[in-house]
Amino acid sequence: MNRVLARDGVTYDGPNLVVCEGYSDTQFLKHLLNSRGIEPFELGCPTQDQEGVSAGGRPGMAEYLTAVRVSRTKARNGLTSLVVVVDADDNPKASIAEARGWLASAKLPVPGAPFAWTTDEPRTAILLIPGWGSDGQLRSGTLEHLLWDSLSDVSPETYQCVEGFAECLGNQGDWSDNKRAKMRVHATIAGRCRSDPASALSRVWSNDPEIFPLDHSVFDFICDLFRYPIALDQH
Amino acid sequence: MISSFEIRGYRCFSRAYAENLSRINIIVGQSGTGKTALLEALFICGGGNPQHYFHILNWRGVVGQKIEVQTETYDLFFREMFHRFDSTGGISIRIEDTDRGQWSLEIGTSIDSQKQLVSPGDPAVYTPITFESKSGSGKTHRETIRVEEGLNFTQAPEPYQIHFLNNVTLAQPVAPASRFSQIVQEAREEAVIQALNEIYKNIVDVRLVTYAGGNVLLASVDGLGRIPISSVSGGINKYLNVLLTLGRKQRNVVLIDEMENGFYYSNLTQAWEGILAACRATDSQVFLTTHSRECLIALLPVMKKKVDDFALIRTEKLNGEIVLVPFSGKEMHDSLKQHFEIR
Repeated sequence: MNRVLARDGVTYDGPNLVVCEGYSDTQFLKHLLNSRGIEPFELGCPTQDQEGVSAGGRPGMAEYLTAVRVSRTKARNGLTSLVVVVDADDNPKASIAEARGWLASAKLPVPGAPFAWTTDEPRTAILLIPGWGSDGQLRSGTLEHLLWDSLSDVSPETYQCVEGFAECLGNQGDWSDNKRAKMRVHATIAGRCRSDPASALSRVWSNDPEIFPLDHSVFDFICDLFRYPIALDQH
Repeated sequence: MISSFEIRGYRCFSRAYAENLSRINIIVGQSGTGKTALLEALFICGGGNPQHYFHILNWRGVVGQKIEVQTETYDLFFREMFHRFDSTGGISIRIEDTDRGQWSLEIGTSIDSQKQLVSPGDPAVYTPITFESKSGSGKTHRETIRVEEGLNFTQAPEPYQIHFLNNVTLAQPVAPASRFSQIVQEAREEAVIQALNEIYKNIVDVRLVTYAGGNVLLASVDGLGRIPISSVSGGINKYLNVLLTLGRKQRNVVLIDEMENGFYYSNLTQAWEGILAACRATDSQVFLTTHSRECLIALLPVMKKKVDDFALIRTEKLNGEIVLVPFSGKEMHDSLKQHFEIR
């Protein structure tokens, strides 16, 4: 079974760990992997420090990965595989370089490219979201881009409706592409999530797992990456 | 300051090595993985003669204050000191000090040429154990424990001053009184009392008095008058003891077993502050063990700007042997900050 790690007194004892920038990503991946029967993975993300100075998200990634190495050594059931999940944001290459920097600073194996596994243990890979574009180039963007892609395909009426809503608001000309994607996803949640229209993205999988189709092929590249260490272990 | 040490053949350690040590070295690990044994090894090495080993036996409750070694029980006294109870491999403990050079202690049966001694009038046979120490300046000291000679040891010419604070030594009133007396003579007691008062606001003064035939420390407690400090609170007594041991003179090495014991949780951060300040004031070094996550979390605000003053050593069992896994202060800080379990 896949599980998201507690945010205090973090302990993990499984062989496969996924480190994301934020809680929404961990919940998305947990539900995606569960829905595809890919297990077992434990998923965690940095959290704010005690003084309230933000060390969550990207600023906390190097610290979190250092903590991963400190807390798990060979004598403590060493970790076998590690996936670092990073948003491409506006600059995929810069995001990859940043993720490689986190791993290097934590003295963990550093993959040469995204979606490639190291041979050194723990076998380590960087998952860049939203992955590849149709032109074969790495895409800019975040998880919301993938979610929006999946929705536009299986629910064109919702897609049209939210696009119309965005056009009607008419004030998004100077918004970044990432912010527009977030607005569309949250507008969809607000209009479709009956149990909680104000649901955070991290909760939407529990509140209404049908809103975004996790069986859509846009998520296949993620699942392919996660199947590799499981296949190696089974072999 | 001790920069590295190596322990071979002592109790649970086949070979254990740690380097890049810092001013405050925090030792964590599961029960039975050698945290206290590590402190003992450093303590024995510092003593340079067998006396420190007998102190440890006493603290562990194996022997009383008055010890008599007999031929029949000779092996029982010493066998548990050796890895897997096998004395043939001997024990070797080495300390590398950045200022004082290399200190070492070898313990074994093969050092002394005389073996298999028979005690006069006693048909039993025993193999004498020899302690051979070498100080930073190269002076050696050898002591062989023979039943017929009793436990009369000569002081090593240059013992490496290491102090061990545990539940037993912290309960003894004589040593802190003596240390306080020394600090008073050097007019340095104000800093210690002030540090104590930072945590325990009701302690306004500490005095050394002769009480029931011995020297005792009395605390002036706001509203209650003067009370023997050990009667006020175990935590206050412990903290004062730690401060006095660290403040006694320059370049102390202090070993504290189970740091968290006696401290109320909300006092732990200030206790860490006080210990670090005392270490810095006398250029001293601490090795301490803890089981407490609360105690480690309380360290975070102290570490924030002084991360290089700390190091973490975790004792772990790998393939049946105990290994020391060292981490820097920054690695420890990052892990605690991200709420990870590192004990």
